[in-house]
Amino acid sequence: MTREAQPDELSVELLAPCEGASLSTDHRFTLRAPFGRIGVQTLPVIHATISLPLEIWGPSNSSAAFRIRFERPGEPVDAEVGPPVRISFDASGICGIAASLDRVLLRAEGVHAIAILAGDRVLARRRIVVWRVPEWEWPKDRVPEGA
Amino acid sequence: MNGLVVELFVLCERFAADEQGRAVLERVVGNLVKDTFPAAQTMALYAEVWGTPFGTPRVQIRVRAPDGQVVFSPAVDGFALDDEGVALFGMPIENLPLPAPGVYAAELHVDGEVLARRRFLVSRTPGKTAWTASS
Repeated sequence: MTREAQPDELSVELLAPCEGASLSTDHRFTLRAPFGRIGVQTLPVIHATISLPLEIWGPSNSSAAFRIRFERPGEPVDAEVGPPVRISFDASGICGIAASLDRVLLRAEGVHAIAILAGDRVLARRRIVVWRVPEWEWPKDRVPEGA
Repeated sequence: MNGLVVELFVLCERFAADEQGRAVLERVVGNLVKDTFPAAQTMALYAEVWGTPFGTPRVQIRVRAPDGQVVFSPAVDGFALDDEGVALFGMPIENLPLPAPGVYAAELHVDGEVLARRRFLVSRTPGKTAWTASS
């Protein structure tokens, strides 16, 4: 039976919300378009998916649980917290996780954040700016050359 | 206080930009396996720093070996935050020395203060003999 790691034994070494992430056969993430900013045309809007590659370090051969918190500006910080996610550490003490947040409601412009929690402890937090893209910057259909 | 926050600090094998100019960080480095030591690894570092618009902090990058020795400490010139107080920073690291297995740490320093640290584990290929020689 593996022992349960305590929150202060855990360290988030990678928290990189992005548009897409893939995992190679040798367990290496490739991250596409890390989110520092999310541009939207209208608000509120449902953002389809935020990929959330994580790498958490802990004691060898232990297990732990964490939760993901999505923070919106002007709302209580604990308004949206996901269910516990259980992980296990191998002999190296490193656990890679390909998590995602699906159908994320973005209500307003401003600084949002994704936090990784273990118990009441915030292990890591990544801020993201949501902003409304001016209409003149919206992608336009292109007319093919020679048309 | 320098007012800076490192929001993203990633080691990967290489980085590129997609057709829209957004970063693609290929093969994130968290765990490396080498047959022999000393070894070397080419990789890249990518960071996103938030702070005061138009700030020009003095940034240093260091990589420490398991014994605390600094094995990489490049000059970082021209680090500047944009009009929204964001700096995107990428740096290739050619042949980073890996003198021994263990836990390494890449650090981002500003004015002598460590603002971000990313650890990565370097281990020996299982089954490989740890040859040593003495005279």
